[in-house]
Amino acid sequence: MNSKIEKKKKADLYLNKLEEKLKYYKQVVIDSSEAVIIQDFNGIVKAWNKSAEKIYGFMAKEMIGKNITKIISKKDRLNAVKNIRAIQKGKPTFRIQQTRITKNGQEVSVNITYSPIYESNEIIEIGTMGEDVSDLKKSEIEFKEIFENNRDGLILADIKTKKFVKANNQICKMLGYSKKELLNLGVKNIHPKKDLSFVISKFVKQSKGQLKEPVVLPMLRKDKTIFNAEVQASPILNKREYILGAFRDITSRIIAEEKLKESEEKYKTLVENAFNYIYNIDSNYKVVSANNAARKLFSFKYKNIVGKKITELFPKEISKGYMLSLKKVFDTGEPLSISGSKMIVGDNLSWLTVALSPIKNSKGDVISVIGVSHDLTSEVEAENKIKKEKMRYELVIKNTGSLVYEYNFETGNIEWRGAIKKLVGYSEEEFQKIGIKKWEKMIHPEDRWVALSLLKKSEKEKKNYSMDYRFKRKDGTYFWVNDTGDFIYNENGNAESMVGIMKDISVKKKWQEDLEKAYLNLQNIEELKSNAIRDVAHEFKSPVSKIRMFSSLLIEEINKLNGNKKNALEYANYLIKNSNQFLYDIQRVLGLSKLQNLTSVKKEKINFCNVVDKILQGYVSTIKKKDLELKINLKDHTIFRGNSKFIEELIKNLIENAIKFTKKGFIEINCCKFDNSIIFSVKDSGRGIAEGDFGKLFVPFKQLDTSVPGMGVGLSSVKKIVELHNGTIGIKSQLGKGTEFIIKIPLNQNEKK
Amino acid sequence: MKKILVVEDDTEMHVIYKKMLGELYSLDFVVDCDNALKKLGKNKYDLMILDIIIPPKGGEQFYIDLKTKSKFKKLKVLVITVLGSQEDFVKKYDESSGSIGKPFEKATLLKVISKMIG
Repeated sequence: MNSKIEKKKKADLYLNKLEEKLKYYKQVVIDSSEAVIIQDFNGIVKAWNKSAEKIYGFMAKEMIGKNITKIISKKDRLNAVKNIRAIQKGKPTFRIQQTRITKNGQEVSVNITYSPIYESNEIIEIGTMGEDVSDLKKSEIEFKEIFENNRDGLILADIKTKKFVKANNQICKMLGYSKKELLNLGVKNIHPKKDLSFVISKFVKQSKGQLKEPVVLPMLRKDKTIFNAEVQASPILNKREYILGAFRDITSRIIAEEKLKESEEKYKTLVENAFNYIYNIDSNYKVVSANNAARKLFSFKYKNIVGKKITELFPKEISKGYMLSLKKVFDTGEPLSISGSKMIVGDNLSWLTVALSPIKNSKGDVISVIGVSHDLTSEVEAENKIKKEKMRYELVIKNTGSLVYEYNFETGNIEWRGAIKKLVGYSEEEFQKIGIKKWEKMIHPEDRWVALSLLKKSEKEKKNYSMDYRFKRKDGTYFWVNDTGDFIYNENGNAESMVGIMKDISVKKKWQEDLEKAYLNLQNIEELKSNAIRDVAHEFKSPVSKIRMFSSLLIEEINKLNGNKKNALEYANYLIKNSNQFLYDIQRVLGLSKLQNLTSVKKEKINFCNVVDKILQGYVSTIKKKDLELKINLKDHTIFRGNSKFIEELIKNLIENAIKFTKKGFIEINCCKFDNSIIFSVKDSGRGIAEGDFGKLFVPFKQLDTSVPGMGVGLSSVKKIVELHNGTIGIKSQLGKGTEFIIKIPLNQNEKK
Repeated sequence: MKKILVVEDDTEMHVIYKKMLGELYSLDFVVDCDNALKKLGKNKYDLMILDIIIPPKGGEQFYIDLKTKSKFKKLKVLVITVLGSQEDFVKKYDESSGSIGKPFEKATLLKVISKMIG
């Protein structure tokens, strides 16, 4: 009995224990992070835990009693049935992956463990435990994506065998293999043989995780070409079975680096061999570096100027200014350029342009200054030479007395050279402002049109241009120029500029004009001659007519029976008088013609005043008859040498003229010595002479008034006589008021002249 | 007796006129144009004898001036010219005017004057 009780007690205890265990398992099932689902062989859900609710979205009450296929994707349903059958037939626990559908229709990847559930050694139900592996799968896909599409070539290799397990597209492309080909290869196939030992040594280090920095390794392509790649590799999984290597083709980078190096080299060479002085100076005004030219400049003094202070290189006056400029660059951090800087090295003086540029550190402080100096000396010399040439050229132009111009068609400006001041009276500065428009205006209006038309025509016909025209000076007067120019054409055949010379041809023109005048004069003289002949003939007619008429009257008187003797005598006297007049006139004409041909006369000692006095006596009665006052001022009795016959004629002519043209008032005769000359003047209060007629006075046989008797012989004789005595004749006259003729004859007569 | 004004600056010519015309006509003499105008203003003359060479402006101009004035339009003028010169202007201004060249004969002068004034 006891044993029965004990047995029962034991059984109860066991049962209790079992129940507890069950409770525990139940709790484990309920609390499991995996989705625990119990289903029968038909797939009807018997149990559904919390995690199942979480993963699939369906509540336990929603799913219990429903078929499990509800949450299995269509493609996996058949497999699910197969799995159930397999368990039913006694297949032990197994794990598969299945795609299941959640309540909201999303696919989830689940790892499912199928287990049989026994009761009394019989499989009665199936338990599944599902683990959501979606996240894992996602990262796996992501990894794959990253791996495949990486810009770097990636290879996964077996550390032991050094064979490739995985490779991405980029490395295939890099090496020229297909993925399949590459996965049959290993480390030794993708590097040049000669470098293999080096590569393997790196591989070993990388496999151990000892080399984390990238290394540059030579790579061998399928086509046997070689390139450099930067390789970074590290072992994956702590088991250290695989190594992942990333390969980056650095050929282009190496080329760029080489190019940089090369250009740096080039730059260095350029700097080193430049003609300019290039140097680097630190804040202590010490030379940090200097190029060949700069070093050479001081080679007479120092082997190398690096480390020398500015003050050691230049005399005090130069280095002082130089250091001031450098200080400015150090202080402001701004570049500075100085042109026309003086430099003295040794005994040589030269001129430089200096460009100073600051070199800054990362903080922006100026740590040194790069200087580039360009020696201008030879340029300055060349410029001076050109200047000299130019001056010489300009001097030549100036001395030719011409203007040289260059006319720019586009701007209308004219550049002028030559004898500007001398020819046009403008200063050079003023004249440079004369452009084409002003030039046109400076041409004499009468010449302008022709000059401008000719210019246009020449431009069109591509001929050179030559034209004479009058050009205006600054003072408004004109002078004659000959303008000769040539056009310069551009490639389109349009005139671009014009270069030419404006020559002063005033003198030439004057000769031309004089020649023309002389020709006209010649014509005039011919006319004068024929006029003179006519006038003289007319003049002769008067006495001859009277002789003729008095003769008739005399004959009539004689023929009369009681002829009047007194009348006859009177007529005879008139005959004599007119005959004398006639003879006198003839004499004067002949005398003048003789006189005009004389170039010199015989001269004897004459007392001029005495001659005047003697002649005047002959006219006193005539003057008295005309009721004119006679004023005589004979103050000097100097003896001079002259031709008395001609001097007498001169005096007579002037006195007779005065009497002839003066009706009332006076006649004044003056004779004196002045300025080593005899001054003789005859002044009257007669009709006077218009100023415009002064020129006609001395033309032989030219009478201002033909209504007055006379032959126009007197004054032309006077003039000739004065000239024969090296004297001058002047006129003062006012129409209606009177006239004064003033003769000046030098005492000192040059016989030979 | 008919009155004649002689305009002539050569006084020797006055002698000739007096001798040739003095018995038939009453003669007045002047030596220039200004005095001629004065005389013409004062007296009435049947004829004016005008020498072509007369101061100050010459006989031709004086004659033209006179003839362009209505006052002397009817004044008969005998212009004394130099033989051989053409004196077309005389008839141009007045058909009744006449001219005669120097030297002239007494008979010719008388014939011309009597033809003009009778």
